[in-house]
Amino acid sequence: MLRNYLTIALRSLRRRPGYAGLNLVGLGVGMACCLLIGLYVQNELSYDRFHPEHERIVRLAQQSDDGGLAWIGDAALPILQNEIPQVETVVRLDRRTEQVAYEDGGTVKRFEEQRFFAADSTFFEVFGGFRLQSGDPQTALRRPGTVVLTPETARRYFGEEDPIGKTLRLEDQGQQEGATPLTVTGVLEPVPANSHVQFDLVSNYRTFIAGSIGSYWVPRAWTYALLKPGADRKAAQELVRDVIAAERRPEVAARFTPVLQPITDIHLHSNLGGEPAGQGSILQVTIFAAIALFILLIAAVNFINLATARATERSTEVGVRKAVGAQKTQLIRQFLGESVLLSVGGVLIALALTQAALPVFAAILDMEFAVGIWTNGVLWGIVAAVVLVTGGGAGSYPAFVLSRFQPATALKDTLRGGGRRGGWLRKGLVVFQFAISVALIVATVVGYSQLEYLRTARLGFDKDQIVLLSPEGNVGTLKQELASLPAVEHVTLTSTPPGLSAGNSYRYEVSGRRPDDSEERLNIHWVDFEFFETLGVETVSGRTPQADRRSDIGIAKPAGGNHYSAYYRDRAFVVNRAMLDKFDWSSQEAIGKELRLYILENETIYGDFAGEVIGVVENYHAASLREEIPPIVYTPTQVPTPDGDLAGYYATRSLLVRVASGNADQVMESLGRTWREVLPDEPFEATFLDDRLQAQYQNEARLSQIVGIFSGLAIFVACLGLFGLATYTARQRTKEIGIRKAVGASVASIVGLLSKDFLKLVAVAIVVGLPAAYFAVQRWLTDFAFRIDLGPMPFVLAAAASFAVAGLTVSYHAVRAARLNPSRTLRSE
Amino acid sequence: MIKTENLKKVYRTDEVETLALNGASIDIASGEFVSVMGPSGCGKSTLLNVLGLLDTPSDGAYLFHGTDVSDRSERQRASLRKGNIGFVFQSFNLIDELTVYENVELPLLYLNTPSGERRERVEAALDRVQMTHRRGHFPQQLSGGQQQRVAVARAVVADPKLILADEPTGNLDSTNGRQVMNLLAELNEAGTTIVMVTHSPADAEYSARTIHLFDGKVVSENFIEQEYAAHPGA
Repeated sequence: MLRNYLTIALRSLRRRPGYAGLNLVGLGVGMACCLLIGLYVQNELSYDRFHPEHERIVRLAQQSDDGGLAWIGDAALPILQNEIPQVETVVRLDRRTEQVAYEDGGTVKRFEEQRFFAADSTFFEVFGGFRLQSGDPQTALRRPGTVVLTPETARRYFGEEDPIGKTLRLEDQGQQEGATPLTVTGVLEPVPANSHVQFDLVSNYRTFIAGSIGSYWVPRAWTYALLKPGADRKAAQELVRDVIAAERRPEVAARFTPVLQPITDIHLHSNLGGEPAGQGSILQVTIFAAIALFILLIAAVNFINLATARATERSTEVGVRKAVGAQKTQLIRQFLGESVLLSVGGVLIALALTQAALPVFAAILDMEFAVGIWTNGVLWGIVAAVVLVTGGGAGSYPAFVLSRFQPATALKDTLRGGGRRGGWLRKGLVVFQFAISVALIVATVVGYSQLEYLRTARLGFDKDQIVLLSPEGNVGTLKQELASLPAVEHVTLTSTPPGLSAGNSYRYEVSGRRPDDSEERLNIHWVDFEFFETLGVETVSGRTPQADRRSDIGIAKPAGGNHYSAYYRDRAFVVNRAMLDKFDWSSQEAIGKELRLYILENETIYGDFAGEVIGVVENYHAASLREEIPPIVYTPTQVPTPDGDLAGYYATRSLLVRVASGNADQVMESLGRTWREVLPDEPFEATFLDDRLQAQYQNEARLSQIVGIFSGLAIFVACLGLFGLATYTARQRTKEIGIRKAVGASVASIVGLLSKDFLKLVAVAIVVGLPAAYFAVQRWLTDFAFRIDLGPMPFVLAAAASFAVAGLTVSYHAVRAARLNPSRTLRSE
Repeated sequence: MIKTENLKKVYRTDEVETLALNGASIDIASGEFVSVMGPSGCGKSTLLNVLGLLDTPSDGAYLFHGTDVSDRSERQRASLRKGNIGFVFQSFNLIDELTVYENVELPLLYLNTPSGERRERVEAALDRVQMTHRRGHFPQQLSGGQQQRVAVARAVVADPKLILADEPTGNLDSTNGRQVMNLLAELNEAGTTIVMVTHSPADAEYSARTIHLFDGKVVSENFIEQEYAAHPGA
């Protein structure tokens, strides 16, 4: 009997390749989308779970109203170690950029290592998931000057040689005499892709900082603790809060609340300042998961709809089977088995598609998947559930409804003519599918528009043809040399490259008065003299600092060995228009205002700058368009020594070079040549500012690309379903069409008749889908301080597109049916 | 074998109530060949469906082999049908996805007949209707007459005591029609009870008795033998 069912199922599919194709492709594509996104979601949720003790690992971070900090200074270390009984072991991680060299018989291999970690010797105790291929985790990082490498890094320096015991050289800002030897004590297993920290080398923390500073601000480090088994994280956190609060000034303690974040929450749920690169977003995971679910629903609905529509054609078979003695249960088994078989076919297609598309998908997301397909229990669980739900859902109408009919009724074929059974359900499901599709189209259009807006918005400065360099060494000479190049129009320095960050925030006083909220801060940027000219930022009133006005850089006092202990007076300040708005000044009033900006930490004042406002400049987007333009105070990057000499550049990290338009490669080449002459030991790295600005929106670009692709697929799958349904409707109404034509209906009127019903459903779907989409995209847009106006366009576009696509889909069959010769259509009766 | 008393069948739709059978009482003995005739819509097919347990009467009694089966559940009726009653339909009702052989085999599958015996019986049934050479064909590949012969084979393969035929020649030309009627006559001679709905007086002549229905009631019964007796030479 089973063979008979199988035979029937397979032959019936072969006899209706269209039906089988629609079903298999629809379910296959829908499910492949779902599996791909499912893998992504699973991967995101799997972060840091590879550490055997992941449930006990926490990171000590600081929460505050304006975002908080992922790191903390070294004063936290003894507290965790000695005063919190729940803590077993503590480790600090500091991500550094270091220049590392290996000298082997005269040849030097030198790399700028951007993922160089400094860690306490307890690294492997806390992070049990990071394993050594060779070397002893107990001792590998015990002493300063030890380093462990990932296999790839080891290969970079040593090729196929055994790196253990070899010595690398840590070069101090290009000065060879300052080089520190690093002995390789271990080679790591590759770092799992689903680790929130990614590194190439790990050295002992004391290689860089020997003693303890005892500050909560410096040196910055991500600080992790391994809690004792069974320890209560919440209780430990309370204790940490109390102990640290007792040591800090009350207003600082009130602003920064220490938190012990479970390591497994960091990747998706933590969005603090100074997070490691590659943080995930729970919002993105949620959006993707919702899309996956929607597409799967659309595909499942198709499958069920088509099976139900087709089932009405099988009433004769039901009648015959019953007449020759089939029991209802036997028919139920047959129909359910058939549809489960078909859905297994869909799953096989889905798995093949998923396997093929995974590398592309990973490339778009720019991520490496730590989870796979074939050995993934969760995935197979989902697959089994989908087979049962779609197979069961699709089979249950014929199984439970058709099998219930009296055989005489089934044989009479009235089901086919009527065909309206399950009609409401089918219509409801079509509405549901198209509502989702319409909403996804809106999301795609809005996503792309916002992205386009972010990419092309006027930022308030001329961002083109600016090359961004970040030299560590002799900035002054490099600047001079670069300025003499023919391709270079301007060179300027800044602490804060425009468009990328709002900069440092300092406490302040205006005319000797602190703000009412003593914790309030202003952003300060140290900029070179030609900064505003280079960027084309207009002056609103007053003037900008001039190189030939020595008084603009003020004076320093008292004498001190480093910048942090000096303070600067009579400095020239420039403010932006947002400052005028904040303090309700006119552009003229602002000139001459006295300002002071400083850092207060542990009762000590650092970086103290005071002087007068000499000019006001126009606002420009200092940070990404997600953020409002903050009030900014600009001051010259050059600072004097207490005896009046120029001490050099304060807090300057970036060189902006405006180059003549032309061959970018040639320009870069000439910049590189000059760089290597001035800074021979520092690797040359340069990017166009515009590229860096665009890169800020990578997440949005990725999101809208993925939403775009999957909306397209969702609509495709929904249309497959509609196409299938149109096929059956046209067939069911063959007789009606024949009669109408016999009495004089035109082809056009028949096409209208057949299309109308479907388009009505699409219209209902639009009414349902648009408001839902409106709320969703509105919510998404609030993440951006600067955003597109949500006009009617995306909604009109989505509605029109759905109508057009649905109309085309349905009209194919409508036209075909309408053009049939009535004698043929009537003959079958 | 079959006895009905005051059989009624009402079809209801939202607005209309149709009385398909209005107190039909018939009595058919084992081994009889009975035709049911009457104008369109008089209830012939409904009667046949009720007799074949494909449908339940709204009222009245139906005794099958002396047992009242009028209120049996679908499950019980299915069990009664299988192996006991064979059907031949005007529109053949072969399953398109199954070959000739598999269509004929179907009733035996539901009877859980062992495969060896199944093969023998299917071959025998096909042989009986001279369709052995077409056993691997699908219904669409056959002429109407051939399809109906396959349907007859399917009806007899389980060796039922009763065959119900609903206008078995309605879709056939006269040659094919005659062939099918001859088959039914042979079956009857071999002892199978046959009840056949027909419009064709020629087909009715194959039966020994004709029941006339009108508006859901039996209006007359005439035995061919009696008519011969009354009008010798007619």
